[in-house]
Amino acid sequence: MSDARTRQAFTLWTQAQPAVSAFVYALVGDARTRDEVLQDVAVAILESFDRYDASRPFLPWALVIARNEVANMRRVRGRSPAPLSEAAENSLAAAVADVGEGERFRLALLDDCLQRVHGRPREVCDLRYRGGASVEQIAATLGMQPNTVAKTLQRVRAQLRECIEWNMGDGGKAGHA
Amino acid sequence: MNDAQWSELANAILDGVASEGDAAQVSAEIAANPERAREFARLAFLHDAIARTSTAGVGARGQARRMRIAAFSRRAALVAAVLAFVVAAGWFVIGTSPTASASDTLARLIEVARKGDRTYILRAIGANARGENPKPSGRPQPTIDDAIVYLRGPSSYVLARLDEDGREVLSGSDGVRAWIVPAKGSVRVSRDASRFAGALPGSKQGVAFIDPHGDLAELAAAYDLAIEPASDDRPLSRLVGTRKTDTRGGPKRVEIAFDPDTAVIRAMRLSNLPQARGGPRSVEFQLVDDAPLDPRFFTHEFHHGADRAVIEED
Repeated sequence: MSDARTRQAFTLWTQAQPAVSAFVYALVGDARTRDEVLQDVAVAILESFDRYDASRPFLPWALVIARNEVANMRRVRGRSPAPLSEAAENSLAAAVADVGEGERFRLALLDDCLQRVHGRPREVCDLRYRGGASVEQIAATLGMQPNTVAKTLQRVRAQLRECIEWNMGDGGKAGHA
Repeated sequence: MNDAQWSELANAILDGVASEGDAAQVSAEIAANPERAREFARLAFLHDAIARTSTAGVGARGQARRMRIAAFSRRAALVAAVLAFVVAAGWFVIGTSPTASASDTLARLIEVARKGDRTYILRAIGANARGENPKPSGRPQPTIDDAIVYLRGPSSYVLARLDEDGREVLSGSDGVRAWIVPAKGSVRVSRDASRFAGALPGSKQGVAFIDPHGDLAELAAAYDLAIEPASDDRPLSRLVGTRKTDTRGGPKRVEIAFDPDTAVIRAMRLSNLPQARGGPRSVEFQLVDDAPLDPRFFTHEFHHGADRAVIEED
């Protein structure tokens, strides 16, 4: 592939990557697996970029590749079945493409908002997202009920969403956390 | 299913604690209701971003900073960039006291921003978001939506856009010569350093952050500037410029969100851009990287092969 073509692939992938990442996360449910799948997706995109039809949007094409890579991962590792039905995955792919641009920009402000989460909620958040612990594992570690952990996570996400919306001003309206 | 139940079950899916029955309910909602699908997509973005932000330590950011655009052609770099780009962020370390005046803050932000290389992704909103009105030839202008702009110093930039066929169109200036590298055809070069800069949002209005040739004094004179300070619940400060009533042209409002402690510029928005020539109503900029670029990156030769025809316009 020529340098210009490689640069085009890189540009398109850079733009699509946050949406593909969110989509993969929704399908696999943890950050470590998501990162492994994303590396496979990036390589697959580069290797098959000559087959990409430039007259069509790039993101839906990338999401198809991502779904294939998730399916491959599940097959190879004998993972449990996907939580979402095939029809739901199809709808989700379309929705990710639809909301991706707004979410990408909005979530650039997340880092600042996350720094405002303190105390036990921060502990729970770190264990879940930094440590990759399950709700059950967090409950056991902190001596909490699993239901309380789940509620705490939900409150943290609501707080983060509210913080982001404030910082975005009038353009930041988003869905429920 | 009401909104509260839906939110709880959708989060349970993403937290990996949903029962098979819950998952079936959520799947049915997503498959049947596009708005539910979009809500779930937004949730997935949030979960994904929290995980990514939580694990993005100093080392990862350092790695992102070291990334070089010149590594485009190496597959390994592309794979590395998959992870590096999502944590890449620009931050300019200057002191910005809470009591600093708006004009002082603007001046310091610009002074520092002009010292390094910066990479932004652009997002166009409203009206004809895909670009300005077609050229007389009838061919649409390349879109600035999703374009990437690289800036260096007070006079160098590269704007990477895609045309309607998805092919890259590059325009830029190395501070001495302006140039444009279309997807096909001849490269054109001019000694007028501001030639081909019209595609840059804000370039016609002297918005100094975006237009490398912009006049800061003109910007400060044409807008009423105010700082909206950060607080415990509002971690970012905002510098807001509102166009004065006796000023013609330019966006009505310019917003710059920055970290009050480090003066990190997180986002910018130009709102209510002039519509006489079409184009987007508003444009948002997201700073994605401040890694130094190749020294030759802003020359046209860096972006095309030696066999490409080059037309000197003057």
